[in-house]
Amino acid sequence: MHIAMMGLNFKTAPVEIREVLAVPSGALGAALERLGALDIMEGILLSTCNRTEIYVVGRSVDELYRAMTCYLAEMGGITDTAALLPHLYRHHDGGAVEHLFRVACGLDSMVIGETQILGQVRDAYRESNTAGIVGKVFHQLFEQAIAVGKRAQTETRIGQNAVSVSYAAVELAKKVFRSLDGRRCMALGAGETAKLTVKHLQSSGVRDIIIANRTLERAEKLADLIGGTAISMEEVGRHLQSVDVVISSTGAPGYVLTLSQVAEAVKHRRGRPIFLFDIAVPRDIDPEIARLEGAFVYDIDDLQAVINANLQERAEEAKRAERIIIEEIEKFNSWLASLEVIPTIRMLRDKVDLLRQAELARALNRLPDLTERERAVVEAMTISLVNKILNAPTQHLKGMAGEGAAPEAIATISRLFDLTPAEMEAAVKQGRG
Amino acid sequence: MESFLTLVIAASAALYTCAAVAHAYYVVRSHFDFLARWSTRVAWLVSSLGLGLLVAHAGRPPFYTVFEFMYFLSWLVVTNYIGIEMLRNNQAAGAFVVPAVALIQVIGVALPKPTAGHEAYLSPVLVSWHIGVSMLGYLFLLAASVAGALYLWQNRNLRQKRWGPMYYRLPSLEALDLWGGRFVYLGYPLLTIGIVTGLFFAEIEWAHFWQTDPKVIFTLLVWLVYGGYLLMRKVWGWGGRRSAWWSVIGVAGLLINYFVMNVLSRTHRFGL
Repeated sequence: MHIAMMGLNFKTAPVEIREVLAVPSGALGAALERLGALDIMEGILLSTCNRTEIYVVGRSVDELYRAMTCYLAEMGGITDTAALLPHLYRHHDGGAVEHLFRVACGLDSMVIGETQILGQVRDAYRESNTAGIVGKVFHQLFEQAIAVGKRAQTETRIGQNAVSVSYAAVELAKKVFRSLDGRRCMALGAGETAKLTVKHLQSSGVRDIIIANRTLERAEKLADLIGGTAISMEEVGRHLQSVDVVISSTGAPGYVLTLSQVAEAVKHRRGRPIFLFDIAVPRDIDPEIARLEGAFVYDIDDLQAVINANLQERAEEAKRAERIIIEEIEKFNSWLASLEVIPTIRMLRDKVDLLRQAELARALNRLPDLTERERAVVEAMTISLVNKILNAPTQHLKGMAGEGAAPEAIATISRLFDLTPAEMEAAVKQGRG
Repeated sequence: MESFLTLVIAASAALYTCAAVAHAYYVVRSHFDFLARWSTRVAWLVSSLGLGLLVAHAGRPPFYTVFEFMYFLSWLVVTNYIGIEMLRNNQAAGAFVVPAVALIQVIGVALPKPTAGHEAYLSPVLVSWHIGVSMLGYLFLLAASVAGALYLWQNRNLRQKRWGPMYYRLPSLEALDLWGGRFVYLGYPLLTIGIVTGLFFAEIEWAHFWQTDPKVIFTLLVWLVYGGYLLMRKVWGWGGRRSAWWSVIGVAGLLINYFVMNVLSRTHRFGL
């Protein structure tokens, strides 16, 4: 039994290829049905805008690869399979497990450490399960993959630092203010990024929002939408001293906020800092303002630099996540190995139990005068004896399998307990079914 | 016994030095955080043992000689630091605390070790209170200066746009400012009680509470500096950078008071 995977992502395939191989949610049922029709034991299809991947369990790795290639080519309507091959990557067994764990942790994502992929892995698992093509191997593998993804998020800081301009602004503000609860914010201009930033600030606890715009109507419209007060550009100076965070994104050619305006406001704020984000090009806020004690000014390049630093920080944290992955692969491998010996264990138990039943029947025949209670005691004794004797061999079988010595362990046990090859064959088949 | 004590003290000094190097590396490169964390913890354990031996050896609270006082104070500082590090899962303050402690420990190795017993005072209990409470005051004022130094560091990160490891590890400016203030609020009354018990002691021991002594005068100066700090915060609502500098400079006064004034003082000659 082998696990294999094949797929393509934003690194290996251009969007023209990715889009024909992406499975829209409407077509998912049919795609899963076709996947189930392949000569596989289990299958899962993971399709997002950045990747399409198939995970399968089957008997021979080569056959699995062949089947998956055909499946993908057919799905994309690509007749020339050779044209598709350079865009595909494939892994089997340990490699496939590692790849899935890395995907679940967001290590294989465009933005390292993003968490969306974890939800997508969970959905893929759920959908394929509903389609009835998930068995015990993938139940274990995917549930573990989801757990690994969660561990990476909670035990490392891989998904912690902002990677978008609007979040980076909020994060910076949080390095100055202990909390944004109840703070006041002013937006100059009503652009998209400003709107997003204001929304993020709101969800971090910022309460009062003032929106200033050249045309008052647009300001009022946005104020209605997100719940704030609209003012005209002329009133900005008057409100400046009462706000903690300013986001500026007007299309004005010159500076909208001057040094003297902010200096005046800072004086009135008596040491409470004011935070100014200038995401407009050309800039709205006089950079000289940064010289003021109590004023922090950041422009779009500064925010971009924060994002770059954050990405580097995430890459650093990714190394910790890799360590978690190695640990979890080991766990999965020992589970998988113990799976190999389960038929043997079952056979061993069946055989010994048959012996037990036969001997019990014989003994009870020779003791006809026993009461119901006495018979029950004797029977319970035989069961507990069998369990106690078989406990150690069972544990050691699993242990040896975990160490990679499953064939030797199986051979030894069959020899010691005289398990015949025919019985073995049947048990192995039963175990797979 | 004595040679074993020396060995333990040397070991804790060596471990703190290792922890200090690891912390320095951690600040610059974000590496070795594990080594920094655990070498500090192990060093603390060894210095706890050293402190226990010290008390057992001398048979009195460990703050009658310069070495004892330094060893005990650095133990208290690290105990609190490790508490914060474990509670907050944040070892940023270690960059300041651990190298300072390592320095104190290394100096401590060279200092003469105490012998049993000490001068007989008329009121030994008052002496213990005077030293013990002053020491706690020192502890909080030191903590305030660490918060102040971290404030200045984070302020520099934010102003000069340096997004290094410390930018990520350090909390917000407001939080650092708040804690700096809180530590002084705690340390100042303790320092005051320390001074008052000292005056009482002088009254009993030398028949007059006022001893014209460099250390007494300098201590009052330091006391006024911190009083000014509190006044500035409470009454004028100052804070931020000025306040952080104030507390860093204040602690420099505290250190001068301890290391220089003790040598000049007649009344504060610790058994060296």
